Amino acid sequence: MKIEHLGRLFLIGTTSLVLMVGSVMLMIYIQRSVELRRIAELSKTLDDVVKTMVDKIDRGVDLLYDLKGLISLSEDHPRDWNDHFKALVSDQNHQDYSLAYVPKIARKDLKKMELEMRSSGIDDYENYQVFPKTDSLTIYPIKHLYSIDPQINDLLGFDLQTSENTMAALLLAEKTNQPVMSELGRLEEIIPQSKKTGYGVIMPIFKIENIEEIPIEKRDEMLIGFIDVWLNVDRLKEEFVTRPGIRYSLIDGDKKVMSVGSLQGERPMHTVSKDFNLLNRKMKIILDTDRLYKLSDYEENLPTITLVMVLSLNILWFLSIYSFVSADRRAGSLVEFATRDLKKFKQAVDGVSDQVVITNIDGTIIYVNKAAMKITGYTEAELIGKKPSLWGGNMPKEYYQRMWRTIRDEKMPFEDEVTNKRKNGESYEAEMHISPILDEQKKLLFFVGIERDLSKERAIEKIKTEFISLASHQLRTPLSAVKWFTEMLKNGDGGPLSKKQKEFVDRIEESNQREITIVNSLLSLSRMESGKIAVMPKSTDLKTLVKSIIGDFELNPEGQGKVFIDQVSEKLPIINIDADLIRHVYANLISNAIRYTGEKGEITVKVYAKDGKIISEVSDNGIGIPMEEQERMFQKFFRASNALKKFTEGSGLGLYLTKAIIESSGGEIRFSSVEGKGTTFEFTLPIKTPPVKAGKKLD
Amino acid sequence: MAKLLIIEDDLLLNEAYRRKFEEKYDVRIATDGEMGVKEADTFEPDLILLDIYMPGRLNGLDVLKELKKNQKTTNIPILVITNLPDAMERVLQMGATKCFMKTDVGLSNIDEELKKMCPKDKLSS
Repeated sequence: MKIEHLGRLFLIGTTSLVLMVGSVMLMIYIQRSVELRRIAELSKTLDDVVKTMVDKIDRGVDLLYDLKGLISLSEDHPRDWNDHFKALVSDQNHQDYSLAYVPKIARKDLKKMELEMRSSGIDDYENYQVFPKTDSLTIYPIKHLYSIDPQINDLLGFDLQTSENTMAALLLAEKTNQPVMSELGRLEEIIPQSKKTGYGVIMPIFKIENIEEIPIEKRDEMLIGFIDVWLNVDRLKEEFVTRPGIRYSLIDGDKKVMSVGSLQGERPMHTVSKDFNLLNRKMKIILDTDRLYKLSDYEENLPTITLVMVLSLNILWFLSIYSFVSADRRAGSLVEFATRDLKKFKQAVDGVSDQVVITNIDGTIIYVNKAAMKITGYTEAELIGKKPSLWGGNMPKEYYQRMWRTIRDEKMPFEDEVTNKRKNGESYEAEMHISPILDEQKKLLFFVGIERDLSKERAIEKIKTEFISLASHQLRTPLSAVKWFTEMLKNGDGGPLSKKQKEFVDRIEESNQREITIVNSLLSLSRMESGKIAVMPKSTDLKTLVKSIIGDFELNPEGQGKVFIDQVSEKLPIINIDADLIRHVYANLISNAIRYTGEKGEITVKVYAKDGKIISEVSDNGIGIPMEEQERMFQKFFRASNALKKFTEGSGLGLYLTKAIIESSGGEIRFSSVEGKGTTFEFTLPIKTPPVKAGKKLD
Repeated sequence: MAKLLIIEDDLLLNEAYRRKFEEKYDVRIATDGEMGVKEADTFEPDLILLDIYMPGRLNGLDVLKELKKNQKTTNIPILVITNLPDAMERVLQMGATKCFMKTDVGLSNIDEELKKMCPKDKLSS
């Protein structure tokens, strides 16, 4: 079990660890993915930008080449030039560019050129003038210009000699015979109000075709002029898609040329940059983004979503673990409770002194308690799996047939006495009670059999019976002897007695008789209590019975001097009573009356029929019963204090027995008494006998 | 004189019986059941006084049974004198003529009863 437990723990632990680590890794991965996506996006944007820029420049270069071609084909007339220009820039795309033709003019030829231009007949050239006028020997005036920007057009005639940028570019172009991009030029150098900046691409035009063959120093001599295509930097700027959170920076060489967009803080979140060449210029674009720069909503929120999902998953997992564990623990404690309850229950059943045997429906034993083993003498191992016939089967066949019919067919409990045999062969009597246990559909599930070993009880009863027999005999025999010998003495069989001797013998006889009465009472009591006295009703003439009892007492020395009043009704019906026992009742009450009255005491016996009962009253005018002691009069061995004083030898059993007899006979007894005045005992007997209560056990 | 067999184990009581009856009857006393049965057969009494509670192999009830079984003794009237109240009904069923409780009767009652039970021709004057 422990290993299973450990295994489970290990599994849970590992899974939790994997889950947590996996979650973290996933989060990191998602974050990085998004980052990379962002950077990729930015890079792509950058690439696009660069490409466009390069394109733009390339188109400018294409223009130069085209123009160059055109120049070789035609004359150098402004109109031609305009036509050329127009032809080239008619395309929408080319309208970004400003085109210029700049001849190399020696100083001495300048005036002539100006004149020529002014008289070309084209309106724009009417006031053609080269400016600024310098001392330079070579002049590079813009001879032909085309631009959609009027400010640029104002530059017609401008001496580019003064532009360092342009000259530097020209020099390089002469060297390389390639179009060269000048440094970023500021128009305000020429036109102070202008804030415009731009790049020029210069292509030199030589006298000869294959200028590469000419050494570099000699090339300047060959130069006719150059064509310049100018691109406003703003045109480049347009490519920069401005979005919140993005800043483009264009670096030319090591100078920041321009910056588009802005960031919230000083430090950008991401930076991508790309180096590229625009012709001869080494350029770099830096793309800075901050928090505001967002990819699509989905992508931006992905980390958050993932975080939420992952957290939820983790929480769910741990909640599950927790609920499992606590459910497990609850189940465990439930099991523990149930087991404890079950244990308690089992202990209780084990502790019971009666035998408890549980069998399934075919009678195979599935459970025995301790008492079962003790009573039958078999061990648990010997009993489980066997049938109760192991210790049973000693009764007649019909007994078991009846038993099975009751518990299996009728599905009712079966209760009866049975004789069984222990393992050691000893027979014993038992009280057996078998209950069938049914399920909700009233199908038999199993039987529960409870047996009580009666051997002890039976043995005790046997001892009691024997004791009573013995006591009966042993106590009474000497009493009989005394009785008879005193009888013979009084009779004179032993010779005549003197008066005194006779008196003494009377005393002996009296005492002996008392003893006999007491012994009789005690033994009757014993027998009644062990159920040995059967109330055996027979038809009895009560009148005769009572009258004979009264007669006996009148003759009896006990009764001498007392007045007996006979009020026995003449019309008493014959009733079914146990005459011997009822005789005892009358005798007890009358003798009590005699005993507890003084000289000349009056004892009245009244018997009459009323309301289906025979009512008997025995009254006297004797010492009565004290109020506080009246409650206890019928208690075993109780004697009222005043009675005790008058007559010490009473047993206290008379009334107890009387009450028992009357109640066994279906009647009731009570009394009323006033101390010092007298007592009346009253009891009833039914005229119709109740069912015979054989051997009623007294409480 | 009529023959009286007394089957009783208690010596005191036997003495009382003897003193009371020896002048009126030819008295023989057996002190246990076995002896009683044998004497009944040999002595052939006219009356039997029988006790129930006796030690030994046969108690009074057994004796009664035996006496009734034996052709010779089956008709002899038997007066049972006992201390066992439960025995009374039983002995009457088994064929005893009468049953007294020892402590309830005096010797004179017994005397009277014996006279009544005695076959007329054996009565002494």
